Amino acid sequence: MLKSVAATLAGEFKALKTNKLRVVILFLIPVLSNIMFGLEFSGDQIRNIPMAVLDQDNSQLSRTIVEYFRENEVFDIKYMLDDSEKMKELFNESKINVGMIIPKGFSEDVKKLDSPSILMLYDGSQMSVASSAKTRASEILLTVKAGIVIKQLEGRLNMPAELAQKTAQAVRFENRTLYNPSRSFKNFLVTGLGTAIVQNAIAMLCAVAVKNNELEVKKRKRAGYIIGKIMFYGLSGGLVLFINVLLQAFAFKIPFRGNLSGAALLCFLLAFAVSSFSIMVSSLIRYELFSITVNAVVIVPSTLYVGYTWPLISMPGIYQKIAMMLPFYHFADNMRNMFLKGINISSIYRDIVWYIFFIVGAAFIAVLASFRLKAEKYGDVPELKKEGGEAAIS
Amino acid sequence: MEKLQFLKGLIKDLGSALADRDVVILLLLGPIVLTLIFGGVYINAYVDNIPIAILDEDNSSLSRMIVRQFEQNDRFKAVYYAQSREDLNAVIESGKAYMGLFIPENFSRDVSSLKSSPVLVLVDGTNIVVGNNSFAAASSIIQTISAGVQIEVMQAKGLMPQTANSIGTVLKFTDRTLYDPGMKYMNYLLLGFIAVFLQQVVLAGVGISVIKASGSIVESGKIPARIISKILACSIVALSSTFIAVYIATTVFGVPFRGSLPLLLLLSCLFAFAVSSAAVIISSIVKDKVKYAQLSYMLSLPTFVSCGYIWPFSQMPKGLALVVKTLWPLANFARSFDEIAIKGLGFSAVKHNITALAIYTAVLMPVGMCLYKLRFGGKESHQGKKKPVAPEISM
Repeated sequence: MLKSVAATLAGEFKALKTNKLRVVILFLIPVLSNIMFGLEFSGDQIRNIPMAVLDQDNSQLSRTIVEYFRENEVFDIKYMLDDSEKMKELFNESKINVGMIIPKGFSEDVKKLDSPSILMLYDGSQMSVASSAKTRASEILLTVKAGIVIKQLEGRLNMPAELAQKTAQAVRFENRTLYNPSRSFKNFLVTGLGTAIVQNAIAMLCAVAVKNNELEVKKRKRAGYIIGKIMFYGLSGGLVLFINVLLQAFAFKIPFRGNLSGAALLCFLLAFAVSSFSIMVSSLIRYELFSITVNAVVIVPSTLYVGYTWPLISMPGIYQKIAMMLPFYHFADNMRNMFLKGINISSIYRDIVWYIFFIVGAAFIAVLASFRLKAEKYGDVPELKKEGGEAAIS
Repeated sequence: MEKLQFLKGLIKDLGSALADRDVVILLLLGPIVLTLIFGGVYINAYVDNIPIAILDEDNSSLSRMIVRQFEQNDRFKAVYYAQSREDLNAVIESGKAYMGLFIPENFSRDVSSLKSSPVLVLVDGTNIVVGNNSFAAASSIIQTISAGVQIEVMQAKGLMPQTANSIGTVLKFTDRTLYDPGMKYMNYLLLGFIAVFLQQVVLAGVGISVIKASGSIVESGKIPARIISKILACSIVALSSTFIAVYIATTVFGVPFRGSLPLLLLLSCLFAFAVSSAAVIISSIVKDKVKYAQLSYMLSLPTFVSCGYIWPFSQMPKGLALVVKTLWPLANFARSFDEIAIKGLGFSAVKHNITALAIYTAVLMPVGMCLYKLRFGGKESHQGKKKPVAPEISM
């Protein structure tokens, strides 16, 4: 069996030289995509959100508030309007994402304690932009409000400035965002996206990896053939995964606080799990396009299924159960936590055990499924063989 | 006569597309089934019951009131009561809690004596979706409590209750979120996904069809007409199922629809043709339907992530945005598809996307046709010469 494992491995490595598309799928697309994701999110946070202001008050206070927004890097005041209809139009044409309306008599109403209101408008259809804008706008406006309260206290009660300030902030709200203090989207998304693309590549290639015309007649050799395939894609896929992790850590400066050997282990475990799963599917489903589609539906959207962005706790129970059965579930959060939290391998030993069981189980089924297949030698189906090994025969 | 023949070819291609099991499953079921699966992920509109840990070192009536506000808020679920700051940090690091609430010793006393005491909220920022939701809810709870305490303190300093109240609410901010007031993830993402499903099924459908039928297409001598009729056949089926998917999104999953259906259809048709141009080029290069399918599925993730849907083009490096917009048509489709539906964008707002898709098709479709002729029509072509009819019928 070991001989056929080695022979299969050698054959696959040899095939890399002749099969350019395999190199494109397994190496070129994943690495280039990873680089693209790193560049795409290199801004880390949303900045320069196009904004329009309608300042109907035009007082010193209202101009100060507008200035706060103008100086903030999150907003880019592109339009100073004198008509609310125009603002509506700009929203409807997607030219702005944020609008602020300061009503007439605002400054006077503040003095009279008439509790005037600033209206903030957000385009809710572009969520990443809207939530960044909301968070920053409320920070600015709370600062403005605190300033006004302090002035009122000083004026009305003749309070000393320091006491007025303490009264205005009797309870302070302090917050600290741990592990990703700048709330960088790069830190949040790129580790998962840049590794998901590698597992997709492994799945796509393994989906049609088991070929009837490569099968041996002896069962032992056949088991060796299946294990050889899993090993080839596990090793090469794991290597590409690790390259992408290194690129993220060193080229794109996503803070890596864990240890690299732990990250490497996790990469190879994911690669072996996906390759054994997809080779199992390849052994079970002999219709190649269908096998590819099954893998595409199960593996490709993993970043969404496993709670990497939209959390698992917010998904229906059945989705949660399915997610836990997917290899990427045991990888995605753990890898991001290795980067940002610096967790070590010992804290994820349960996931490692899961991987071992999954890999052994899927490989076992793949080997069993391969026993029922009919070996075909070159001469059996000459026409199909010539067409690039498209045989879809059971 | 020519037109009649083209029409006949189209009907034949539509018939053969419908008779082709793979293509039909892909084109017809793909968008619908995937919409149902993906919609299910976001069925709970909000991130609720976020596990949090609490450390109340004060244990006063004020601190207990704050803790109660967090415990009773739907957004949070108190899962752990820490004994120390280290304990609180450890539970967040372990991932058992996504947020920690810390009220320091003597908090209540410090508030009364105006020592400006802080309530500290520790948010796990690794998952921004969870982090932002926890932060927004925590901030709103504490601001409300803080305003109440502030008014009490001002009264204690001798202000009349009404004046204290007026100073406490000296100015208000009203938020209005347009188009999607609830800011639901379902509304944010589902239409974008449907745009990608359309891309994937057209890519796969057109590419696989023109590879499988390469023999008969080359043999007929009318490569452009036959390819166009294949594209039309695939597009008609794919667009039908895509619009059923949009209908499902709006009726089953409650995604708002305010837009013009004809405009949405126009944009989708242009996109289908633009993607088909890419499909013809890639299929001509790859020439093998299995390899083509592998490659086309590999494109879904990078094209979606880079198409300006989840991360706007304005936030990307300019060079990258230019490359993406030039190379791949999804950049001129997904965002506009969503905005026409949800915001009701008009023709003038998407005019530039329509022009870009038309130019993309006008340039790349002829390139695709020439490449197809070159690759499948040459002497070395096995599918073109050896099996002129068979590939179209069977896999």
